[in-house]
Amino acid sequence: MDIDTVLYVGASAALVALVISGMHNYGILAIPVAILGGIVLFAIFTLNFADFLIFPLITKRLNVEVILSKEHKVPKSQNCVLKYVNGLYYATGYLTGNIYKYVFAAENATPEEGQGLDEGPDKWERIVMNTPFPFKFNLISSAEDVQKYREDLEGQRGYLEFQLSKEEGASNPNALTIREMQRKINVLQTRIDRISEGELPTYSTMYIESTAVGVSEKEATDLLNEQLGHLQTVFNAFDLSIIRIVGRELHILYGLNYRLMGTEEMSKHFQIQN
Amino acid sequence: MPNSQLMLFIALIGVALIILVGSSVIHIQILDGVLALLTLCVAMVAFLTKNYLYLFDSIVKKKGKDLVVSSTEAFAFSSSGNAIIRREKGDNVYASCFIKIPIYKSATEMTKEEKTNLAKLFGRVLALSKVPMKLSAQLYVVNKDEYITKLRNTLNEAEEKYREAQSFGIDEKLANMERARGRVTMWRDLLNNVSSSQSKALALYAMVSALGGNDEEAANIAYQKAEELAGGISATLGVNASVASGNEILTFIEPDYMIPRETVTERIMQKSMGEN
Repeated sequence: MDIDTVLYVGASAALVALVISGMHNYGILAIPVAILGGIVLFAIFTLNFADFLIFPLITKRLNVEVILSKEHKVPKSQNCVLKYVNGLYYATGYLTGNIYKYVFAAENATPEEGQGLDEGPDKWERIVMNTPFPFKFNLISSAEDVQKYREDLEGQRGYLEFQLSKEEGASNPNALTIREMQRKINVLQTRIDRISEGELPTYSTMYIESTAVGVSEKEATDLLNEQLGHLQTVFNAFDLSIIRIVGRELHILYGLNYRLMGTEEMSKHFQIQN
Repeated sequence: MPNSQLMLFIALIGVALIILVGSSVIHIQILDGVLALLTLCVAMVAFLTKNYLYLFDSIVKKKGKDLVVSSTEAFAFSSSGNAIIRREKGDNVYASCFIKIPIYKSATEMTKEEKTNLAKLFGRVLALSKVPMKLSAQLYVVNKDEYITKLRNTLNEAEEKYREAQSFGIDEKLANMERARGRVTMWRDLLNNVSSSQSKALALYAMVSALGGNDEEAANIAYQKAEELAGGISATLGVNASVASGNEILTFIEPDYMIPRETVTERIMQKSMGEN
C-alpha cells in the first residue's frame, strides 16, 4: 500500500471511527449514525480495494452513463468506451497486460529468463498471426529519478550482503540460499553498473486494447467481449496477468490515447513495474 | 499526486474535524447527532477525492441522467498538423506527438541471438526518454477501397481488350485472345483474392506529451521531444523513425480510422449474404 492510500484510508476511517465512538452523545440519532458510519467505513475500504466492483454496480443501479467527450461515452456497465460514427458503434475495451520483466530486463538473465528473451519475438508474431481483429499492445514507460533509484539499489544490495554474511557465518549454512543471494546481489550490481554507464532506470505500465464495431451498441459490445476473451487466451503465452479493466481506470486509459500523464500521476492510478 | 488534490482532502478532513469538535461543545443530543451525520458525509466526500475528483464537477452540474465529464471534442489538431491538442480542466493545454517506427523484420528470419538482441534493444528504447513515453504496437484494418477500385478499373480495361481481341482476324485473334484472356483471369483472381478478406497491418509507434501555456507552445515542446526521441529510436533500432502527421495520427488514436468504415460495410454485406 502506498503512502497516499495509507493517508486517505487512514484519515477517513479514523474520522468515522471517532464519530462512532461518541455514539452515546447522539440520543435518538445514535442508531442512524452507527448505521451510516458502518456504511461509510465499508464504502471506504471497498472503494479503495475493489472500486472496479462497486463503481459499475452504482452506475448500473442508477442507470448512469459517463460522457467522456462529445463523441465518446462509457455505458452503464463501465466496461468499454463507445463512439458513434455515421450509424456505426465502435466499442473499445482494455485489459491489463503486465508482461513479466524478463522480456525487457536483460541483466544477468537466468536460463529460463534468457529463454523468455529468445522466445519473445516469436510469441508476439504468433499472437499477431492468430488475432483476426484489431488490437493494440501499449507500454508506457517513464524514467525514474536516477539518484533515488541508485540509492534504493545500493540499499537493497547492502541488506542482501548483510544477510549473505549472516548466512555464511551460520553454523549450518544453506548452499542454495547463499547461491540465490549471490545471484540477487549480482543482478543489483549489474543494474547499478548500467546506471553508472548512463542508462536511465524506467517504470513501465502495460495494457492491451481492442476495438470492435457493430451496427448497434449491443452488437459492438458483444463482439468486443469475444475479442477480449480471445486476446486473454492468446496472450497467455506471455505468462501475463490479464484482467478486464472497468470503471475509473477505463476512463483514465481512454485519456491516455490523447495525452500521457507524469510518473507520479501514473503511479497513483496504476501498479507500475521497474 | 497533485498537491491541490491533497490539499483539498486535508481541507475536507479539517472541516469534518471542526464539525465534530463543534458537536462535542454544543451538548444538545439531536444537534450532536445531525452534526455527526454531517461529519460522516464530509469524511466520505474527502475520501472520494482520492480517485473520483474528476467526476465531482459533473455530479454537481448534473442535469440529465448522465455524468458529463466533457462535452467538447476529445482533441484538436495543432496548426502544424503533427500534434494533437487536448485541453483539460484548469486551463491546462497538453500536446501529444506520435512517432512512426517502421520495422519490417520478422522473427522467423532471425537467429536466436538476433531475437535476444531485439528484445534487449527494445529495453534500451524504453530508457531513451526522460519524460513518459508510450510505445504501442497496433494491428489495424487496412482500407483497401482505393486499391480495389484500381484493380476493378484494370480488370475492366483487360475485359475491354479481350472483347476487342475477339473481333480481330482468325490468325491474330487466337494469339491476342489467349493473351487478353490470361490478363482477365489474372486480374479477376487478384480482385477476388484481395476483396475476399480483410487485410491487416501492424504498426509500431511511440507517443510523447507536453504541457504548455497555449496550443502553439505545447505543440512545439511536444514536437521537439518527439524529434529527439525519433532520433534516439532510429539510432537504437536502426530504423528510420519519423514524426507522424494528419491521418496517420488518426489511425493511432481513433477507432473509426483503426477500422475504416468501408471495411465494415464490406464485412456486413458479406455477413448478410452468408446468412441468406
